Amino acid sequence: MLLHLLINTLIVGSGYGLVAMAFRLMYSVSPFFNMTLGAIAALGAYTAYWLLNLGTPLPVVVVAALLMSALFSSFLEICIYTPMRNHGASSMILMVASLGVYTIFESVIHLIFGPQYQTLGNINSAINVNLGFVNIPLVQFLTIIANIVVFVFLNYFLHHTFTGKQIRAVNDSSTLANIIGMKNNQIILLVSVLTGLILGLDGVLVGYDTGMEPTMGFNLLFKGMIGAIIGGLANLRGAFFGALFLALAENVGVLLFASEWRDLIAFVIFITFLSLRPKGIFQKKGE
Amino acid sequence: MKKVLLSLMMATSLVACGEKAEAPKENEKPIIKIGATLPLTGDAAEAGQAAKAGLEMVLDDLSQKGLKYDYRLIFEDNQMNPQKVATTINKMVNIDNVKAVLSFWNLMGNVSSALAEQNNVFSFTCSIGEDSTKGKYNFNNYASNYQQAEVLVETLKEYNVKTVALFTDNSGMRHQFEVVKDYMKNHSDIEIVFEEFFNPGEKDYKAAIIKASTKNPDMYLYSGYNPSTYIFMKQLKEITGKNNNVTTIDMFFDMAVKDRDIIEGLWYVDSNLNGTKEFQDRLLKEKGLVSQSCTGNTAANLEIIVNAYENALVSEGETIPSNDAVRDWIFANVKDFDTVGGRVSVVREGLFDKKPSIKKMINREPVVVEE
Repeated sequence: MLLHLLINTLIVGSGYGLVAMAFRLMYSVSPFFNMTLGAIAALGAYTAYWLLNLGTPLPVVVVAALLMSALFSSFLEICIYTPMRNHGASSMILMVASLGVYTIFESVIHLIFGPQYQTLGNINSAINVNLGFVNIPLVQFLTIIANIVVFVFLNYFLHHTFTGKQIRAVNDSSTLANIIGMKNNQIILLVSVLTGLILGLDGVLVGYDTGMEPTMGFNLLFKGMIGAIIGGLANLRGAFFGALFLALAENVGVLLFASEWRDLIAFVIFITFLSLRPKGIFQKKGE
Repeated sequence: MKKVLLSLMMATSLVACGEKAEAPKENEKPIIKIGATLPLTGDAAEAGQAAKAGLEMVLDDLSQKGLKYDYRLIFEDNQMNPQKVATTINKMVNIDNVKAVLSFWNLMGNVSSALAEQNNVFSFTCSIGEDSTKGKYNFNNYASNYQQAEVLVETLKEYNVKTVALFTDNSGMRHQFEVVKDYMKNHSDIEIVFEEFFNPGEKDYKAAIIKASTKNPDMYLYSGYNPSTYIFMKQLKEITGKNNNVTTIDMFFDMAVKDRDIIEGLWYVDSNLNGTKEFQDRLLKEKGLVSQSCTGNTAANLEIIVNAYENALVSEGETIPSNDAVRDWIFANVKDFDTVGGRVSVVREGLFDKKPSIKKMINREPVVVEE
């Protein structure tokens, strides 16, 4: 039983982790609670759904879904958030604007695809991966792999490439970065593309695993956000491990108490961290 | 200036007084308005639109047989929001002067029943809630929780099930769940080895299923709404490799056909809410809509109201039967009454009851196994 629970923690934590890393990445250069991140993930899922219904081959579907999410993310950045930022909008105003955008998106999805629950996959075609001690569905295995790959890639990208260092510079101090001649808006735009790709991937995986509805974006974002905050918004490993920690806490809570307590446990941990360790598990040195 | 204003006021008053309420002309039928508060937009729009279409279809059919009264359906959109349910009912009662209000599902049925009763109009609903039959003029067309529990448990006994794990969510299904548990304890030797409740909208049942699997139940029973049903069964199969569960209520009709493989070969208790096969086929053919939860029963409610008004006694001096006369007719005559929702009978406290059936999903279509 414990083994199954650990595997489930990995699976659920990986799902949270992709969103948490995307949230953390975006927050590092554009520090406000961006609700449209949920919409970007949902767009990936619905793009995949639409293309699959047209009979498009799966590899093309996945690439198109990721690109669509990235495009949408950059569109929002160019047309909404950058102009607002340039006009001196506070993070609160940006957050409210993102909520408005999310609501519009949800309504549009509702109008186009209807309110019904949809799935990307068919249970009969579900493939299992045999890990020796346990079988898990391929899509859940891919979620774990995707989470690890994205974490490794982003770590390398942020610490060993020039662009990555620029992103970290903007994260440290956007004012200073501007002074030394860095083009902050371009950096933010690049990050929004990366974020879109990660969220699009998460959307597709979720669409296959647990299906989708027009309201899925908010639910996806919420747990990812909590994971990122618990782990610490200061660095990427905070988001990665924070999401796993959240999933572990939820599963232990279900094991010891009941499933009804899952959300309660998530909130209690969230509030506890905000109160006692607001910078998260992985605080930056000197904080 | 004062004289001009005064003259204008007098002229307006005269015109207003001269306007009489239009009395029905000699050959015109008395009008009976029936309101329907439905989720025509929003998350439950599919169900609301199907119910609307079903009602229109039934009224067309009844009108063709020649009716004593002129029945007018008034539709209001409540978007499945309780406040909007209340607003729409108040509007229909106070402005449209409806004689009856139709609704469906727990959330709408409970509000509708209470408000209708306050305003002395009929409420006909299709709802799992027990509160929707408390009033004198409240009626609920639904298989009672007790009947569903009875059919479920007796079928479990036939399949020689000894131990079960029960799962449900904290919605209106929880009360039904408690009735099932109660019946199981009092009428069988089936042991409940595990039980768990979920919050509505839960997407991860795996931890709970893992916990339940350690008790090794003969059967996992899930009672809930789609998509939770689909996700639960999918995860049950992933964790246990088995797919041997049944739900206590039929929420599969709103499951996309391609997803029905998840319940292929499984039996379940069907409370027959979406109407007879003929009704469902006609709804699809004529209106292009799939019958949803309570579509059949809501249309059946209209059939019952119209038949009641058509046949109830009219007191001297009245143009249409009184509420009490309609109510009396319903209690006296709705016994094995054939409707588009199936054959119904009035039981206690305004509940129309009909026995649930056992169905099996064969090649993605529900097939009756036992009635």
